[in-house]
Amino acid sequence: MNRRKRSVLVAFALLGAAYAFSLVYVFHLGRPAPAPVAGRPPVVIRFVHWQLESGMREAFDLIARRYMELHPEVRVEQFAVPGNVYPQWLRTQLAGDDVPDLVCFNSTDPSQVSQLPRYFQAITRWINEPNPYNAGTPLAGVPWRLTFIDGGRNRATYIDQYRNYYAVGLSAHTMQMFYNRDLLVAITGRDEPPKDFQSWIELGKMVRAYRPGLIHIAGAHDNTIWLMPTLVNSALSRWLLEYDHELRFAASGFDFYGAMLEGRWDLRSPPLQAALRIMQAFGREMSPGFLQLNRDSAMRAFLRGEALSIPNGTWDYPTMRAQATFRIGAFALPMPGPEDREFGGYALLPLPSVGGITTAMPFYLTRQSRHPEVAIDFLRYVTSMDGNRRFSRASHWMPSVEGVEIEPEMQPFKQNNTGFTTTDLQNGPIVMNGPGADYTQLFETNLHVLYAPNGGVEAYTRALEGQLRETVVSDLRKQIHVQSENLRRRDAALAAQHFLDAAEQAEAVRQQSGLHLSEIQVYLMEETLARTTGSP
Amino acid sequence: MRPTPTNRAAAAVAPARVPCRMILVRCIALAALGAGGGLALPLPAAQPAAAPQLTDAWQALSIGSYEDAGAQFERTGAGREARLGAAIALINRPPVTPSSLAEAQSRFTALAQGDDEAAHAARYFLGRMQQLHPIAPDLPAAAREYETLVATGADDTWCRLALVKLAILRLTLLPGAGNPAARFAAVEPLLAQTRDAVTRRDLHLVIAEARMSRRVYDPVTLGHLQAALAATDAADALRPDILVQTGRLAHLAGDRATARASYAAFLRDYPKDRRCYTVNAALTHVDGSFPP
Repeated sequence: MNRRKRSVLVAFALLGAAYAFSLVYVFHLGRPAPAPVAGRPPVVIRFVHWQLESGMREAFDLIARRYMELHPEVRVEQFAVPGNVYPQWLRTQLAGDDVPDLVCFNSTDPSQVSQLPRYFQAITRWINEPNPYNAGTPLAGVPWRLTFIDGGRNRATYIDQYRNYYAVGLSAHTMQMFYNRDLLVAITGRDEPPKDFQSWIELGKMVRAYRPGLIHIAGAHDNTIWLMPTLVNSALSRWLLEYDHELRFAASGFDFYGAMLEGRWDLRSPPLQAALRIMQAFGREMSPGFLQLNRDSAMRAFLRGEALSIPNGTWDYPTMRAQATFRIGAFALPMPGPEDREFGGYALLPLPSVGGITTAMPFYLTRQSRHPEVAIDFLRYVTSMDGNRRFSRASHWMPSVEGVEIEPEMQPFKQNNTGFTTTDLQNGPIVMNGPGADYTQLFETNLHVLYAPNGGVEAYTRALEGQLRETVVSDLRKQIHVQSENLRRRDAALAAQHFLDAAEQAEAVRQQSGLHLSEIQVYLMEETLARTTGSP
Repeated sequence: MRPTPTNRAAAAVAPARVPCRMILVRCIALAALGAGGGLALPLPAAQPAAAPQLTDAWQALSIGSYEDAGAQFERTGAGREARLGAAIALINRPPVTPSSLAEAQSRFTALAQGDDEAAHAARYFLGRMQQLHPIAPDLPAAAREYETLVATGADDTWCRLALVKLAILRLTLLPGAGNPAARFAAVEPLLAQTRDAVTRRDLHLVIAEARMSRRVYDPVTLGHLQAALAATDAADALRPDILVQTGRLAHLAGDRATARASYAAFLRDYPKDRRCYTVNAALTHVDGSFPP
């Protein structure tokens, strides 16, 4: 046999092997057959998430094992998919009809939210019933939704435009300023974080004087762009209430930016100038060149003791805890009070935790689930007092269920609701992020002007103000377009529900009421745009 | 002892049929693989598909599967309900083009020539197409369709929806409706056009929304909110907002008793709402100004 014939044979052999392997894979979907229980195949439910932080997969495994002990006839499988490929992975699985029963999903994109009913089932009928796993606890007989710290209702779990519950949150988070307790004691002589904004600025001076090169805040582009908008909104909470035209204690973006188009505020308005000064002061406390750094660089600087503190979410606490060689503390950054002439006067104090009390890590039930009742039962267990306590302890994430004790080391992260809220959770104005992507980009791409040695608040204002109005108009038009698309889709869906059974008909009537309100809000905005820009 | 889902689970473990779509996926995979090896593997013989029921088609439409729903409606026959469903699916079925919209409009127009539910629904969708048309919206034409429907006096689902949509147009973008006061006046008579409590509540709410958006904080607006509140049951997701709005507007209008009662009801019924601290502070300052 010559060399050429051998090569051809090897190629065919490889092709044949690949073909045989593919056949096996296609027909068994790449998974081993489940072992039978009492002669029957077990019910398999699968859930997927992107939480790869330290200890999370182990915590999920632990809770799944506990559930399987209670229900030997069920097998629970965990899929952990990295966050950077999660959206693409999920889209592919949804399109291929092979998505797990329960999906961790979170989106603020209105067009994605509008697609929710296509892929996920509303869970309202279950969430209004008591959670049976709470029998014998103080939550016995309490409707499932009311067992959550936020009443089961937040931007991700309750979808306003459908007036329906779609998910339950397994955990809770807050944004904190984490700090190196040992270093703080060495610098100030005590383990007490600053109580007001000016003391916090003073602390920065002490940090820099303590050791050359020591940084007050480990900054990065990532934590700047999520922290700054929150900071600015908090600092302006009293002023934002002036734009709550519909008197809900929940100012909307439409009202706020509509007021800008009517000439009621601009970037030179004193509240906004104060907000820009706060942003500038905050940036001065960060690592040099922070806008070029990413989140991992900031985390490494903090863990190496090169920075006193780092703004972060509590979801990273388990990772920091596992890697830090020092004690970690946390505090909420204090806002300037009314007596602060440079930065203050526009916040309504006290403020609650960022975002108020809310649950996190929402899990949705997919429409393709072959065992929806079992999947819901698993969620009930994870969010029962017993299940959530076990999950919280194993993951070092805070519980989402009322009355589940928070471990002492996580007590400083506990959410508090004892503060004023003035903006809407779902549609509220975020002063720095605006009504759309173009506005956000305008603020973010010019941030270097605010922090440059020859820049500052005046230079930043000048860089933005020429384009601000036109950007707001363009973003609002896009938002109206997206919402009109949603209205068209909802019209068809609700019409269809009118031709289904009585429960679906009642649901359609209920959702129509919400849709009418969404619709008039869109039209009022369109009317303001037409009136203030002279074009429809 | 914890309750278990054993019964439900037992039902759930019953052998499941292999979905047709999965067979299709497997066929494609095999075809792709077989192209290299020239092999073929016998698959289970395809079963002839049963004719879809109207309910299945409406179900598909309710979750936004326009293509599937449209095909199912076409296969269920030529009844008026099926024709209506097919036309509704056509409005959103991608790609939405001028010709697909014209086709949908022509189907709705044909259906609207009767006096049954399908005719009323078709008339309503003719209005919605004019209003939300992605290419050439025509609001006066939409308003005329709604007025025609309301004039039938049928007070059915579609007439009720048309009534609220007509109110929204008159309150906002309908050309020639005049200044805000004229717009408000043009919708008040619509309240008398229905006996349905939910529709009346929705009308009160959109009127109150339009008035407050223009910062008309007067007793008339308060009256609309109170009427809406009276028709809203405790479990309704809109109620917490209406209670806060009633409380704040009553406070601004100097009706402290109503403000106090509304705030107290909110705190009692929605103790986990994120606005509780704010509402509680507003209640504390109900005799003065708020925020302090």
